[in-house]
Amino acid sequence: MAESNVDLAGFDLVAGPSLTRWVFQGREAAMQAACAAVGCAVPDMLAVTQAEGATALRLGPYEVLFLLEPAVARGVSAAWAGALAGVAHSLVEVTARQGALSVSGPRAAEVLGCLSPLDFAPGSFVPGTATRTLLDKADGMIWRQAEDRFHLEVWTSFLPYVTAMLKNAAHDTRF
Amino acid sequence: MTQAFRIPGRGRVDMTRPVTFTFDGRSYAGYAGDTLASALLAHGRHLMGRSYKYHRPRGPVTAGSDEPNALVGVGKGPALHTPNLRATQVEIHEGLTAVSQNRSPCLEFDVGSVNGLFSAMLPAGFYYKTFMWPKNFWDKVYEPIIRYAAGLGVAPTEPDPDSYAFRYDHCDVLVAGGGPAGLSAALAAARTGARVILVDETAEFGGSLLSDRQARIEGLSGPDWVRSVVAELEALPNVRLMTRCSAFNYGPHNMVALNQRLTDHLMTGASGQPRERLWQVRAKEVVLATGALERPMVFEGNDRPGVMLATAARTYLNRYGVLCGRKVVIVAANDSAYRVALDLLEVGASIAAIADIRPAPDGALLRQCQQMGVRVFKSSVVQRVHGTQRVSGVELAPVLPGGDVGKGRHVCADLVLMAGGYTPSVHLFSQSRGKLRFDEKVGAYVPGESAERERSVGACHGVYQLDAVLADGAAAGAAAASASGHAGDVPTWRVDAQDTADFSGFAGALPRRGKDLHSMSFVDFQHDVTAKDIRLAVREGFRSIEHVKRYTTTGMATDQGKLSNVNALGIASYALGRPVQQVGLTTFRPPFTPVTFGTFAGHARGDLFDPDRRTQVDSWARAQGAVFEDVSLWRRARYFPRNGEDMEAAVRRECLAVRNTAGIFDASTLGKIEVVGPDAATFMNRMYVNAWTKLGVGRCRYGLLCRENGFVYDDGVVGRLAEDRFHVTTTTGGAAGVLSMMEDYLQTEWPDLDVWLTSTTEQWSVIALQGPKAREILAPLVDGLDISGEVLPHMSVVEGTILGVPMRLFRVSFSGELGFEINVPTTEGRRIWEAVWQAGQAHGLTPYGTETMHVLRAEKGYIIVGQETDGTVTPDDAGCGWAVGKAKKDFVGKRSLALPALRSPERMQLVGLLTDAPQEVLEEGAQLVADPKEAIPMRKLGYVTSSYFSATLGRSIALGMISGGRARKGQTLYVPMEDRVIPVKLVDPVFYDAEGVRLNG
Amino acid sequence: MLLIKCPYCGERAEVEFANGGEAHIARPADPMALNDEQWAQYLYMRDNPKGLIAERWRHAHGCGRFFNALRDTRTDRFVMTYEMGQPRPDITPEQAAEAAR
Repeated sequence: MAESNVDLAGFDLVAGPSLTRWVFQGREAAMQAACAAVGCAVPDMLAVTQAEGATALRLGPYEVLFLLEPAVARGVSAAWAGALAGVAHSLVEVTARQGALSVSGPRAAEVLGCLSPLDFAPGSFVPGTATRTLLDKADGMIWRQAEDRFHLEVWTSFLPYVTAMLKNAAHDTRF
Repeated sequence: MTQAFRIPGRGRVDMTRPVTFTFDGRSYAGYAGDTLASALLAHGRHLMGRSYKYHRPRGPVTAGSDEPNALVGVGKGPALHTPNLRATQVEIHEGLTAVSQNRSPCLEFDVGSVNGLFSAMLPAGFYYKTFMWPKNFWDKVYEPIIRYAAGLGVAPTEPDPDSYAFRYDHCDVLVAGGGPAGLSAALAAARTGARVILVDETAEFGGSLLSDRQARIEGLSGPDWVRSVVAELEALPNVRLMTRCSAFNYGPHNMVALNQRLTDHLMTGASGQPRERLWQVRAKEVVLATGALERPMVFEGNDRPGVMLATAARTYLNRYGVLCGRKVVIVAANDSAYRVALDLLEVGASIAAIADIRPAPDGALLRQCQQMGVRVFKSSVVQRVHGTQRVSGVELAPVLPGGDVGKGRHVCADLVLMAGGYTPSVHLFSQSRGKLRFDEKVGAYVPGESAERERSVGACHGVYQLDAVLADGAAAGAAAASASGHAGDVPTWRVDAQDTADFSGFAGALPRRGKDLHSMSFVDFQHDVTAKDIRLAVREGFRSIEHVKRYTTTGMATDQGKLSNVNALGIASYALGRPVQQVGLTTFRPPFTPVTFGTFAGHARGDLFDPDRRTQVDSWARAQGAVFEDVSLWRRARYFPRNGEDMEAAVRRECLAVRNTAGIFDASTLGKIEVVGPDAATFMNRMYVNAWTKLGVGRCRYGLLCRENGFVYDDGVVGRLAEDRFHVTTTTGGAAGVLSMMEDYLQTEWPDLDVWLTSTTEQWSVIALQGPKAREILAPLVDGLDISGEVLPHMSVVEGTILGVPMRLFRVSFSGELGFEINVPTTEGRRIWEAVWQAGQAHGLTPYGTETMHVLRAEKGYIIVGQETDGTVTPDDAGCGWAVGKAKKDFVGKRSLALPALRSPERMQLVGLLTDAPQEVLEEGAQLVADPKEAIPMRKLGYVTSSYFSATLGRSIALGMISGGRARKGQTLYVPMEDRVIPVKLVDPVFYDAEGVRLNG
Repeated sequence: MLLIKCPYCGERAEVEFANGGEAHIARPADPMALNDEQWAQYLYMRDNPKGLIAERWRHAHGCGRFFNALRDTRTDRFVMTYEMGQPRPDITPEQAAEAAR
């Protein structure tokens, strides 16, 4: 995956950054403690908050996906164990379960619109929004970082399919 | 070949760009901008096809997408041929190859026209009354002939090399139709800043204005006004314009499907550009500007080449510069006929006569025609058309005061035009579930109450006059934009010249002299349905228009009754003696016009039809020469043949290797769910049949999941990693379903439980190491972890590391041998697999696939969900009653297990089957009976669920589900096959190491 | 394709959802106390109204949450969606008429 760099005039697709991933699930108090432990504010539904080396994506009312850079990842288990002692919650590491794709360029939104029924017009899907959706026949998560930059998360075995479909869409949108 | 009927200086085709194309093998010249129909008509050719049933010679009736007759096949070769395209829509390009259809050997002489001689025996519904005798003739005689004769075009036989695109889009206002109404609506909406999409099915925007030489808007001609509007729209960043783009399906909640054709007008054949694109547009507001279609009239011979709609002749002349005939008769029910006559006179055609069916038509246009010497016969109809492959003349007859039709006069003509009035195109409105209402003034069904956020404008809802059309469009466009949140002014345009709209028209069959028993007066051209067919249906008792439609097949061809529905309705209503409004309308179904299969498929073809899911070990297995099989969306290695082995030989070798030394198997595809929280055990107790509370940390249990109906749904080994953490496994195909089912109960029944579920299927690679040497191979790799039998007994789990990589090690066995399943993060899966493989070489480690896995577990009597179970099997049926926690108060399915039917001793139960002849391998699915000599139908006692040759035992084994199977152990039953009967003995389903000695090694 | 309002994510295309059948059918608190007929009623009997139905949906390819909806089966108009666990809301005759239109 690392070498599939497709540049089609206005559309860029590269493998995403190497991150540690954890799925947090739990109620309000637990969610606050888990986010605080990595320095993030609790994100609103479908919103994203960030701190040094940590991103928290609120993908569900009781669910946060944490993307952590190595420096934060190293000590996070201990930090969470401390912050969440005695508080009911679920933390499961899913670093290997999924991979990241970085999609960028002026045509990025148009290309994503070939796979997902979401409205990517600037006003409708503002930067700082993240959600799970369909990428044609695969499930995927889309996080809009800027108007022309998206971070996708896709389960490992679906990455070849999603990559191929994005490349086809990038080709098609030229016509 | 000269274009004798081309009028230079007229029309919008580009006469500086000639185009050469072939039709039926003959080369023709046309111009860029021509359709196939206009180009052939320019050469004086009307004959373009043969009709479906009677093989009558046919020519184009229209100039657009409503064309029923001129169906052609375009594209050369077995991969690129597209049948049943309308010649009136095919845009010619250099090198285009087209052929006519449904004729043999050629258009001019078609053997199939012999059907016409038998037309009296082939009325509507004739096939319900024929082909029944003698009975055995159906398979050998009738059906083959019908298959050969059926259909119109020829399908391609090779895969389509073109690619097709897809995308979603969203907008504030979608305008379907780019004529005057659609253009004014789109501009009004676009000027407010709303996101606007405007589409038109033809190559240019403008619609009727492109054929109208009289209109003057703000001093501009129709086409010039169109040009100015399009230029303004093109310059706006919030507008998307698409020509050659049909809105073909109005879906719920304002999602409209568009079919955009990108390359057919440029070439036929793959070029790297997608040939077509499917858009699914979610619009806040929709404006339908789909226009109205002129109606043909029903009289004898109205299908002859050279008989067409009056508007079509006008379009061919003014838009394409083509004169359709030189000696013209017009049969009129509407004033627009006279404008057409005047346009034709302008270029030197002669109008031999105009037969106006109305008793007292009048108006400036009529008088102008008369002043130019045109004979106008009032209260006149066409009794019949003369000519076969081309119109040669007509008989015009007067309608006498009493209503009868009198003796007629013959008029020579090479072109007969029908001006039957207009039918608003309400197809998309109807698809949106809008209610139609019959408008007396318009004389047709028009949109009534909308069901969606939608407005109809212009001719499609009965507004015909140009100034009213522009005002209508502008008002609706502004209103739509405003409703979507963008307010703005309503633009106005001054109309300096226009024809007065006329709502007259005729629906039904024209009156004729004499009884209509044999006349070929066509209602539905494409399906060869005549007026007498409709009357026949009514006579045979069909009262509902839905029945009349299906019995006669009127309106059921690819043109979906665009030209025929209203006339059919008129004839039916007359025959039934009920007004049109009471007879009703049939349902309008998508697509509005035919759409290619490729457009719907998009990129979901070949390797991308479904996601192709592969594990981290896949390429290693590939390199080893493994043969693969599909399991759900995954590819799994089925066996690893060596030295030219077939599957049987490979599986025998692999099985023996696992039992004698060790085998390595990729179990990564199985589902995994991490169940975490203080209430994890409580949740597991409620979901699975087993008792979990007392399962210690570090222990595993075989979990069985039933649905509430008591039947086995899934199974898998569950490991307890902590008080509040379970690692649950599922079958490969059941992973998503099990998680869905768990979430259903958790979210909707037990939301107060403190437990949460996370899919970890793809987090862990699972390397199964099975066989007597397994521990020896593994021990050096696990960084000092003690994996002895005392510390890690069968059915336990421990966390540790393997070569520095985090590992969950399960001591489990699906093979019945000493076994481990090494779970490592998938990012390390390949590396650790190769390390284990290397370590195992010295011990004879053998890779094995799913086939061997199936055999080994069958030897142990382990079920496979979906093989031994089929959704109707209880735990007890499957021999797994031991897994049910007897003391548990409740679990999913428990109540159903107490039902009498689920406790009956006659139920199908798991047994082992041993054939008398040990080398005989039963067929899976084969049925078992008690007495092979029983009369048919025999009572089936059960069937074979799994069957293999067991290398371990040196003979065949099988598992089956047999009624009262356990009580029948020791009995002999019989498997009746086609050519022999196989006796089998019912035995315990465990064939190997029943004591489990090997397992506990 | 229907447009469905997930209470958590807002309006999304139907393709992101899975229908979950009739709503407000609680699993009996003590199934073993029911007779066979009562159990069959819970297990299999579902309404199929021509008109308003209260039904469950799951945002399977989104947030993953279940929720309830009031939909008119004749027109596919949604009156409203509401969180799982909430009782079926009363609606006004006007709301019902609008859904039936």
